[in-house]
Amino acid sequence: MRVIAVGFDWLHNLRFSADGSRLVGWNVSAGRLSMFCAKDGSFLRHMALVKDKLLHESLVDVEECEIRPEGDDGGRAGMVICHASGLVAVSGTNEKKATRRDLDLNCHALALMPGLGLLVVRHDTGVQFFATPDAVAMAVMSPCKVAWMVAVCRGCFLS
Amino acid sequence: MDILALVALPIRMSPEFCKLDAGGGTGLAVWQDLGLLVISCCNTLQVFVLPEDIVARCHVQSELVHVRTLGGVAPMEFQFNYSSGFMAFADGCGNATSGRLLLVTDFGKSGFGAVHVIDVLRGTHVGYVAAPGTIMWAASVTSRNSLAAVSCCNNNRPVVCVFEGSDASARDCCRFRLAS
Repeated sequence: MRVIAVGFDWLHNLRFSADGSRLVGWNVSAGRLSMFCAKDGSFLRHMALVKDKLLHESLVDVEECEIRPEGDDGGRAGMVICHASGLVAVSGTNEKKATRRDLDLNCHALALMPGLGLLVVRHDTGVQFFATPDAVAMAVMSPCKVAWMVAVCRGCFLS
Repeated sequence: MDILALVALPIRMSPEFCKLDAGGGTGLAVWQDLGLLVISCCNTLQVFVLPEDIVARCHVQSELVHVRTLGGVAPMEFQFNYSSGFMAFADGCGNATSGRLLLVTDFGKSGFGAVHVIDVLRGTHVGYVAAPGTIMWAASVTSRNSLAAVSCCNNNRPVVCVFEGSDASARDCCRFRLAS
């Protein structure tokens, strides 16, 4: 068995990185998201700190981290955190450069649908889907417009 | 992801499933390829089918179709608490025909929990990542490729156990072995 000790408190809401080499979890004692090596459990780094007492006490789910592990700009690294009264999206591992967006929502579980958006389970109304603007824009395009755009893209990249 | 830019799309579901947080933990897992959605609540797993082209139908109210309820009968007598009932689809432990299997953490009676492996398509229990009694306080689970990680307790110490799934055959795909 590969048992990974991760400190003195629970590591909740585990998520693997895309290549499976790293594990991210909510370190309850530290009150923050931390990244560990999946092979030996060694600590790698904390994700950007979310300074919010409410969030620390009521976090219920975390989704997707570390899209691009290289570099320290954290431009595409990010996570969506679900807590008792809303969603928080944090991008960047560098705390000085990290950005945060909040959405008030009474929810208690979430799942990412890559390329489409977010699914959340709300306390009041059941399941709610949040689509990315790109997905919505694509969905409302006519087939002719999509075909035209595909032709233009092919022309640009193949010429 | 800028969540403020996300567009909320309505999904209609049966009123009996709208209050899903009554008792125990609530988890959510999505198998995007097949449009399957599983919610754990009230010691059961509720399986739904997402509307096809869910985004394209944003102008109309899509409906979530309930497929089946799992649980209540051995070996799927789940005992979810606030820190269990988490789920993950194992995407690398089966071949193409076996489909994906759902991993579910179960607090179990007296805390000696388990991590179940469930074939959601067939609605059958096909095995365990960690059999009942072998793992304590199973909480969160995640999976990537052939690996599954479970946060649990070992000798009263919080640990994360990493398991590796077999890809030998559809029959064996539920047999996770402990990663070396």
